[in-house]
This record gives sequence, structure tokens and C-alpha cells, in this order.
Amino acid sequence: MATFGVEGIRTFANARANGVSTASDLTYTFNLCNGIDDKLRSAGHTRTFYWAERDCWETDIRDSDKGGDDRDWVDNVDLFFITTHGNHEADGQARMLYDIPQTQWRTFSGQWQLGEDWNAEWVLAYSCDTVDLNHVPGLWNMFAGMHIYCGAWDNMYDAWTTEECGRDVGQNLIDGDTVSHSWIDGVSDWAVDNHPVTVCVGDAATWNGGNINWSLSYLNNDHLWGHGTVMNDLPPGQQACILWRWAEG
Amino acid sequence: MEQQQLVNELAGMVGPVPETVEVLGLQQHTPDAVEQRMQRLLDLVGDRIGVRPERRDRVREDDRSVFRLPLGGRVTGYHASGAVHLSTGLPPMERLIGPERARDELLAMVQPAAELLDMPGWTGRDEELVFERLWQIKACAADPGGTRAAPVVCRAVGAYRHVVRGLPVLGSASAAVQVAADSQIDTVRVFVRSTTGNVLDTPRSLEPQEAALRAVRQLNGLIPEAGRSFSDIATPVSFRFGYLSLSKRAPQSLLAPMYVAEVRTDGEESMSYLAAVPGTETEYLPLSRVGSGPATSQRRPPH
Repeated sequence: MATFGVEGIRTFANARANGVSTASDLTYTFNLCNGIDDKLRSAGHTRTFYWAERDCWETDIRDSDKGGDDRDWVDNVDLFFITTHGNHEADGQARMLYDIPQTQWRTFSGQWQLGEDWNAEWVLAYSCDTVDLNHVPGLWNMFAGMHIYCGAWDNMYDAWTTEECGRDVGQNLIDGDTVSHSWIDGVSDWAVDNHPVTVCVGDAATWNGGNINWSLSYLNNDHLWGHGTVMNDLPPGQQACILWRWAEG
Repeated sequence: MEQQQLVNELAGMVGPVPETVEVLGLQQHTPDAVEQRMQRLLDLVGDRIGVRPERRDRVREDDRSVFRLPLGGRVTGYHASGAVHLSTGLPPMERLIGPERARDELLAMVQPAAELLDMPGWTGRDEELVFERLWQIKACAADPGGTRAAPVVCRAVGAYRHVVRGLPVLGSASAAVQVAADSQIDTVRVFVRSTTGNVLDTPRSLEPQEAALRAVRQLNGLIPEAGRSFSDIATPVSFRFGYLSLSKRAPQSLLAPMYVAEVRTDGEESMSYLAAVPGTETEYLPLSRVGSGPATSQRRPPH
């Protein structure tokens, strides 16, 4: 079975007061977090941590070699779910906002290296625009053995129509859907445009000289532990491509 | 943007608003009735997905029923709303549609699958399910040298809207059909709350300007401190009038008129919001605008 961690930030008053961001508060942060937490625990998976508001720190996902503490938190669980504000940098790095500078106000994916000798397989971020479809390779460095990053390529919605997204993603995962399908199906209400995207890396057989063998990819095969196939980790030396799957309307 | 400008722009986006609107009763489903809807969906598409409708295992859980189908497929029915969802279990990167296609071509792929659903059979008198939006699920890849593969269309999704007495039922899509290559059904959702035919009340509609003001006041709560305003970072996207459906796990006894404002915030971190406010002076359909608290009391020591 899997271990997982959850972080959710709903209020950003501290970030606003310190002139870090104009980001408004969210409404359904903990509906999302509680939903996936409840579903995964109901299937026997183990919650390792669930931090809220200013107990969510950017060092939790920053690589330990880069001054962070991921080996104790995000890279110490199989699945990590976070809800906060997000965006991306010009070079394609994802970034996310915190309401406390512990030790920085934002995390940048250029400082993530997930899955190394540690644990992380899947990171799920209900945050706007952390993936730039024109610069997806800018996310490459985070895949140090991690399988799939689930995020958004434009805005996501804070609305009563999306409050169940965490529960739906969790339910899909424990019903045996692939991680990629669980995310895109779970956060889509096919009414508002949540812009879901799932990103992974693949080997040379998957790249296949540019004629992609999609059936070999994590996107097609990876399930949550205990609910189907989980492919082997792919160390950086064997990574030959980055692949992404998204919904648009 | 000044608050009054945001109000004015939203109010100017709404379509025609009738002077009065009927508040309508909704059917409440027993788990048995929900399972009948699940069976109906399976009967409609079973041949097409290669499943004999009688070949399924039934599991009844707290808030839903599930029919397990061969090859990882399932039909799920939600007891609170009667929403039903069929998934064939097709792996997401198999049976791909192929290179990018024209919208009309994808619509033509969705249409035969949608016709199988017998959409009029899910709605009542003076109601219909109308096409709303085409969605696509695509995939792409790149190598370390920056060479990009051509994007591929994995699935096409047709989304449909329940319209009751001329008004849309706002919320999640009322029906959605997701197809793979050759119009092969991948997933189907039907989320139509069935009306009873009873008219509970016929109130006057709220004026758009007043409704827009209430929506903006609601959104202002997202930046509560003095000296700052949500309107400062807001861009209006749409303002709609119609009935409203809660989420599929939420019970609902009636359809009442509501206004729904869609607003996007700008800045270093942006977000999209929907704000729903009653379409009448009386609030018939309470909608939680508070959100849950965290399901944890765990606190971490200072760093």
C-alpha cells in the first residue's frame, strides 16, 4: 500500500501583507485535501503528514541537496497532494506560493529532485498554471525517479463545481484507474476549464526515435500501489524523453 | 478595476432574465432507484462496449453503488443525486484518435456515442440535453535535444447541458461522452437531476445589477483585509442566469434560479472563481460558501 502526504493553503494574508503576492484566498482548499485524504485512507493507505496553512513549508519539497528537507517529507511518501496558488517561470519551472517564508515564500521546481534514493512517485498539485505547455522540458529535473507530475497548464477553479475534485481523484485511484486518468478525469467537470495536465519521463524505447510508443509510458500504465501496475523507477541516465497529456476545451 | 466597474461589467454579460421563474421540485432517489439508472445506462451502451448488461458484480457503499465490469470497467451511481458514471477501463494511451483533427471531425466522432444515450429519456417534460462544448485530451513528447513529437489526440469529449423550461442547469456538465478512436466509448457521465413536475413557487427574478453586486461582495471576502480589494485584481469572464445543480454527492430537493459569476484574478498568481448568488430575493437553495476546515489538528513545531 502507499504512503501519502497532504498540504493545503487557503489563506494568503501573510503573503499579501508582506507584499509577496496579490493572490486572493481560496474557498475549497480543504474540501479538496480532505477528499483525497479520506479516500486514500479508506482504502488502507497511510497518511504520513497533512499540513495546513502556515504549517506548509517550501522546504518540504525542496531537495535536501539544495537546502531543503524533501527526504523527510515529499520525497518520503509515495504520493504528495498540494493545493495552493501556482504559476511557472519563463524557462518552464513550476512555482508555488506559501503563506510563510519557511524558508522562502515560493518553491521553484528547479530545486526539486524527487524519487532519487527516496520514495516519491507522484506529485499532484491543484494549483494554477504550474506547467507551461510550450516549455514542458523545463520540469525535467524534478524526475529523479519520480513517475508523474499532475498539475495544470492554465488556471484552475475555486468553485462549488470543483470542491469534490480531491475526492474524485482519490476515488479513481483506489478504483484502479491509472494515475494520469485519475487526475484528468477527477479534476474535470467538463464545464469549467481546469486545464489538467500530467507529465512524466520515458526511456528510449518509449521515445522510439520520435515515433512515440505511448503504451510503454507511465501515463498509460502507472497506478497507485495496491490498485494495479506500478512501473519501475526510471533513473535520469535512462530518461530519453518527457511526455505530457492534457485536456483542453 | 473599481468595484462598481466589476459589478457593471458582470451585469452586462448576462443574457435575458425572465421576470419570474418557477422553483421546481426534484426527485429524490433511493439506492435501488439509482441502481436502476445505472442499469439503464449499461443497457444503452452495453452492446457498444462489449459488455453484456447482466454480467456485472454489484457493490453498494455508503454514498454510491458500483457495478464492476470486465477489464477494469465500472458503472458508478451516486445516491445523493442519481448521477451515473460509466468507465470502460480502457488504458488512457491506447485506442488513440491520432493526429490533431478539425473540430467538426471530432464532433462527428462523439455524436454516434451520444446518440446511444437516448438523451431525451433522462429528462422530463419541457426539458432537454443540449450540446455545450467539445473537449479534447491530447498528448505530446520531447527529447532532451528539444525535438518535439507531433501532438496526438487521445480522446474527444462531448459535454451537454440540461435545460429546464428554457433555463440551463448550471454546474458540472449534465452529460459527457468521452470517445477513443472509431467513436469507441471510453467514459460516460449522466448527471441530470430529475424534476418532479411540481412548481413550488414562482418568484420574481432579481435584477442583474443587484445580483452582480451580491456576487462581487461575496468575492470580496477572498481578500478580507482593509485597504485591499478583490476587484483590484479581478477580470470578469461571464455572468449567467439559470438553475443550479450542486455537486454529485450533495442531495438537493429543488431547482431554484441563481446567478453565477465567473471571475479570473490577475497578478503573480492567478486563479479562476465561480460565485453563485440567488436569482431571487428569497434564497431557496443554500450553497456553502465557507468551505471545510482541514481534517487534521496536526501542527508542526517551529523550524
